[in-house]
Amino acid sequence: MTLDIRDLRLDYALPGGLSVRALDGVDLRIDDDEIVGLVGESGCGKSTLAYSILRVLPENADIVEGRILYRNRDLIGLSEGRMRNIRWSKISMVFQSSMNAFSPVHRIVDQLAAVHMAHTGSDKRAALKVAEKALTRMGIPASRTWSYPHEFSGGMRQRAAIALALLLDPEILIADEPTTALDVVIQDRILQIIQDWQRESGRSVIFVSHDMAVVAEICDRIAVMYAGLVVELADKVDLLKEPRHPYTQALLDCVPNVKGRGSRLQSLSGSPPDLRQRHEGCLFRPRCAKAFADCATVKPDLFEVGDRHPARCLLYRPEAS
Amino acid sequence: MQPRGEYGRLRELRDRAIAFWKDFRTDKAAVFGLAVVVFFAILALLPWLFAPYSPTSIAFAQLETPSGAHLFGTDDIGRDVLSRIIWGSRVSLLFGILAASLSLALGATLGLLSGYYGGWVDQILSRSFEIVLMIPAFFLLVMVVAIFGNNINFEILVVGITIWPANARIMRASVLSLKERQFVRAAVATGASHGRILIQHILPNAIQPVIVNSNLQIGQAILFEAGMSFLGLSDPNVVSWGAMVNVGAFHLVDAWWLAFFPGVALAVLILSFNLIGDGVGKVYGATSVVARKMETPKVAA
Amino acid sequence: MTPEAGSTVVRAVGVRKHFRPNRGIVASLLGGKADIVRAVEDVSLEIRRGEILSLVGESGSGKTTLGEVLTLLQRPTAGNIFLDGTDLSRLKPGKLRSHRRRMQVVFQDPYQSLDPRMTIYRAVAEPLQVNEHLQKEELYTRVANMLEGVGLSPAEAFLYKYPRELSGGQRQRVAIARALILDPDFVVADEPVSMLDVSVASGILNLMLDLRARLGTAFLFITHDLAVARYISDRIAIMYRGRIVEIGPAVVVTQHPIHPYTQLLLSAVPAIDLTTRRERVVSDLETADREHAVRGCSFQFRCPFVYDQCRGTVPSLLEVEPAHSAACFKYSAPA
Repeated sequence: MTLDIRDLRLDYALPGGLSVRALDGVDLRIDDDEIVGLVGESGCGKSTLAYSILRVLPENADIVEGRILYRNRDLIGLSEGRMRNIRWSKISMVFQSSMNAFSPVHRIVDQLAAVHMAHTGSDKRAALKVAEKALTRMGIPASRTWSYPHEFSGGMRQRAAIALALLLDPEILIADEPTTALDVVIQDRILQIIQDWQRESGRSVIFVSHDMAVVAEICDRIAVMYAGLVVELADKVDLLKEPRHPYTQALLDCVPNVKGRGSRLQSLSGSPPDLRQRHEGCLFRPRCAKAFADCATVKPDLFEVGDRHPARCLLYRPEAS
Repeated sequence: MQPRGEYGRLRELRDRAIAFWKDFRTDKAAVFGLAVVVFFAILALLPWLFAPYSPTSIAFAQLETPSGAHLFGTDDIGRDVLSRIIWGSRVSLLFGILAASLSLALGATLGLLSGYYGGWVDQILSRSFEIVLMIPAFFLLVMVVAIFGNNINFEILVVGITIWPANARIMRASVLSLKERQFVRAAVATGASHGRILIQHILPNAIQPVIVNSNLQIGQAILFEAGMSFLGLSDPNVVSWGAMVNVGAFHLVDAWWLAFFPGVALAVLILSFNLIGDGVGKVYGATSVVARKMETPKVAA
Repeated sequence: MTPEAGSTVVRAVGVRKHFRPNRGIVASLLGGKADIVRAVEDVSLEIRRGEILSLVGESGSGKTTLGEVLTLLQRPTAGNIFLDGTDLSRLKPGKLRSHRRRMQVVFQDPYQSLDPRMTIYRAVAEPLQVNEHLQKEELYTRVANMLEGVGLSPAEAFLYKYPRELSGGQRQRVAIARALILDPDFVVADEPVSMLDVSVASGILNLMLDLRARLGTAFLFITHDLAVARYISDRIAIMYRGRIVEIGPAVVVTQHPIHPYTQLLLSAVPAIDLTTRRERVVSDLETADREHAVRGCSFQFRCPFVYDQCRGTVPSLLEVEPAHSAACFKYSAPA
């Protein structure tokens, strides 16, 4: 097992003394050699969770509880110096806006080389070689690697950003909506790149997205998040064939299919709960078609349903006999 | 269906005023600035209620240090400094507010037209902004006084027509940014006339940074006036803080109070307008459409 | 749900929109040619009464520009736009304004399309205030009814609010209410759900279908998402580099695409489907960068079927199957 997140709770402090409970007890394990998808809608906490792993959270974020175990060390308590050793060389990240994060006044290959030199202490010539190879592996022709960022299209810059993330051969790649701002053909190419890398290297990927279809394409296991919690976790095929949590079921019914679905799309009324306040019972209850009396007062745990397919819903609560 | 209560324009104005005050109140420095300005405004409006003596009466002993009878002392010809400070606030406030208002009206209008219509209108107007900016206001003021004498109305006019380009440029930039916003284009799509779009949609949003700047310009204008009177170029019949500092400069050693009190008054008043400007800027900054897009949820998903 | 073969409400003929970027005084005086951006190139299109036509394309395809030209928020560089027979592109601004009420727009960004200083009531009332002269009570009634009609119920709860107090989905409903309150013949919706969560977006899509059924309004639905286009539209038009390269019934275009670009797009769309494996169409991406005027078909550099003809002439949109047209020499070789 590569990464073990246990009972992670995180608040964002707001002006005026309020705080938002963005994560309220997340449990998640990432194993070797898999792509895990984190899927959910805005405000569910998926990006916050991703940022927590690398500890690149904004100033007003406060981890109140929980552990993130990587190779038996808790990343949360780690000193900044030790954390820096892990960032990029062991765990790296690609963001939605990574393609815009390049310095406009330096060549792409130089920027990659600079990162390599900073982490490994190599000399410039060796670093440039490594950088060039990383870029060409992403399908960027050798002749173009010496360009400036503005000479690249958005898709090429994002590929360069992935090359940068994979430069030091990390054990875990975190991808936070890497293709959301891109056209569908380029998106497809980038998903292929990530999948190919994962298969060849046997490493792990955490793929965060709001797009269920993309997650279904590329991931082995999927974690569905809602209001700061993981509400369902399963192998892709199990989740799609037999979604258990009412939110997952509703979500899948809201997604149009280019091959047609023959029935009217469902939609969810209402909005996600205001996380500035504490709520009684299950956070999905106001919008849940299957809610019953206990849902208002009892907070469901992640209940195992025999196989590796837990769901955070009282419908699956083992009867206390 | 029956309409209940006020739901249209009036409600918007009321809601906006309440919301503005609520936000403004949180900036302690800005509220302090506002209090100071209000304080001086009251003094300026009703000086006879507060001034212990007439500002021009020379009946008193000369160069008296501050005491019970004369809280700020007396000046070189025996006038009570405190009374002169109180009466002097009229000139400073009047000058500042009038000149800045003229600058606001002129700058906002020209900037609005320049930004909205674009094309050669914009080209010509922009060049005019730049040309007027090149005029050194202070020297122009000196020349005006030399030619037309110490007429305070002219001085206000001159200041007003030399400092407006800053407002015009700010307005123009705001308008350019707003023109392409979707809510403006939606209004175009419904067939709204240019006038309606300008007045209903663009002006209220675009004028915000100009208002912030105007607060600073009030301070700027007050300083102009003080500078003019410091150089002895103002109307000798008008009580002016700048003129008091002029006199006080000769008595820095033996009668420090002559320069001190008007100097402090000037500094405090100008600072207060700046603080108000900053406060207004902060309130607008949090909700401004011009500066940035409207808030999307601040918490990472 | 296809409407009866109704009459045509909007017709575009040979529409072009070219942009000349602003170069400043010095460059203009010194002369030389500026690069023209050919956003829309020779588009002819018909939208029938009550139909929902999706305009699908990637960024740079010109779909947004075409939408703006069809509602005359931008004037076409060439070509005509007919609204129920009237040539709008030749009208002066004053006369044009009176026709505007018949075609409205819904924009993409729910956070930007409403004036933040206006109450919801005023935002939805504005089109009525501009175009009609109603008594206060009637104005109120029509606005409240419209809000109820887009699912914002009870209307009184929303009238006094400001846009920042509403969620993205609610704001989009307000934008739709504002667009439909004048009962236009034709609404251009430019990516109206792209910025919304999927569970909210689906509600908006269903709302538009319901409104179309009730009011008979025609929609031009601009999107990059083929799955959404398939769900909501009767017909789909695919745009590439300023031209329409394929057009036909939604089901047919997504199931039996003719044009190689459509085939490429469809092969790239991810779908939640465990049964079939996706056939990926290989395409050379590197030359997909911005190019200037090209001789012949603009897709030639990425097309797996390209041959000589494609480099010399631009293929026209020709009917290959009943009601299904494509602009490709593979299917409609010239004589």
